[in-house]
Amino acid sequence: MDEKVSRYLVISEQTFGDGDGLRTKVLYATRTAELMFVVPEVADSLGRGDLSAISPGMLAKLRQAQVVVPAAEDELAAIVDRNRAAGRDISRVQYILMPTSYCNMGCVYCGQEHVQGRLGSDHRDRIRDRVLRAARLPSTEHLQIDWFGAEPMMGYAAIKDLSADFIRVADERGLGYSSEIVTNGSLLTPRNLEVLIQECRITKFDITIDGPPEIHDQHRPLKAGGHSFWKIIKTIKKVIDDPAHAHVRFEFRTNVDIHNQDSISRYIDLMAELSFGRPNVTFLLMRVRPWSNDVSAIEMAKTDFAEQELGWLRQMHDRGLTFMRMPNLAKKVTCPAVRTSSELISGKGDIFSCTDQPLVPGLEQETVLGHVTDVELEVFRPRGLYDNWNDDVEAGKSGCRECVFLPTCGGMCPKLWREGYAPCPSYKFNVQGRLGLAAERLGLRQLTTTAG
Amino acid sequence: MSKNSLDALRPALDRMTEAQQAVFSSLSPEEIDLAAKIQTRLDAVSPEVEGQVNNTNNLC
Repeated sequence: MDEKVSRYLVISEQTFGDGDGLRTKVLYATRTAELMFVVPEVADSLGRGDLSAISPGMLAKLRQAQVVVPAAEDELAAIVDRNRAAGRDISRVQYILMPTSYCNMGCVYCGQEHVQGRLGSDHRDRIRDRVLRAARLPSTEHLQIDWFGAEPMMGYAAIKDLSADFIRVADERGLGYSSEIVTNGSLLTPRNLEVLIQECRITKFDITIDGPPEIHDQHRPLKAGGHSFWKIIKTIKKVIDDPAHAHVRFEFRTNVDIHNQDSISRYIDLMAELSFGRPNVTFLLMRVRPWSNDVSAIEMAKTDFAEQELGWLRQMHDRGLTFMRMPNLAKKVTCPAVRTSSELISGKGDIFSCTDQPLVPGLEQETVLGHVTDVELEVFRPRGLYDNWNDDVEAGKSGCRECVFLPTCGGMCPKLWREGYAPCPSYKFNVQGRLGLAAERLGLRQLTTTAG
Repeated sequence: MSKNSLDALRPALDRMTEAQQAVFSSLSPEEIDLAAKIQTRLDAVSPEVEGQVNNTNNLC
């Protein structure tokens, strides 16, 4: 079989070892998001595009990871087709629900405009009916319900009420069920967390903490005044020790801009001292970027962030905090806006394909696709602005066509690309350092630097 | 291939299908040694975080 080295491959520039004879280079196969540790000679052969000296067994492993592919394959077309098929797959149905349009925080970088009010009972019933209609389709195998805001815990009653029916029908039909919540964490208590985990079957909590106490409280101020850092932290601390919650993941996300960048190191030390270094508590640092608003005065430059992030990730590594070195799942569907069977329903019952559209003045009115009270609405949402995203990629309308990370990233955010903003993930800019961290995780250290 | 390498890989080998074992047997001795040492180190650390960066776009 005529074969070639995939264009979707990153090879570590460094060689790593243990000082006792072990020598390795790291491969990151972006088509499969697989990290591989190989003997340096294999990595060097791949770098030259030469497969002749690689053993049959290693070639088989490289084929499996799609590091070695058929020579005639148009890899870009294969990836785009793969992603198109995943976007059309309706076996997994995803609803992102905003049970309220209000948030009790007023973060400096937020692009949403929050308004008071929760889902009325009529709208709640319409949402219930709409979700269950999709859940009852013969094609549906998995129901995913994600709670989103504004601050979803302002609508806690709706979460409890709706989850009960979603779970009941999913169980009756033998569907898989998963649920996550994106929350500022300020309204969580040990009691409602227990309900969210046990009754609403939420298994992932995305909670944003923007630095040590005084920085977080300034960066993410409560509209009513007061502080939230210690309340959030103490609440989470109380529940993570319960063995019954071992399957639940708490992800502490930090939005980084010029105001809090200098405090991130202190935050990492604090979280380590508070014993958050555990497998089910993960840390994610994200650069503040536009949410249809102008954040140019406070955002960090991509490369500056990537460089600093590497230092913060190393510190997390040293302090025993859990974080993702490189994604280990290929991203076939970059966001809900490119999946036929994903939609967002806002606190007013409006239906969107993109999470960046609701509650954004002007954009909300321009991009709404329907309303839960529309009697003629099909089971899946009308097409939105970004359902043809993969056509854009293939046509070179974004920077993704030539990017080695397309298979693991998927393009990140079609909306930002259309607005002329490249939303590339930070690992694009610091992948070599991250491969080094992957080696260090196994106790290996850099042996040499290879020129070129 | 050293006995140590084989011992380190034994649990993984036992889980392999026949086809996988055939692939494994055609690795070079140096590759098998490396695979064994890496496997030992992987077994000693907690599992890597699974997933993707930023599944639901959010700033909240």
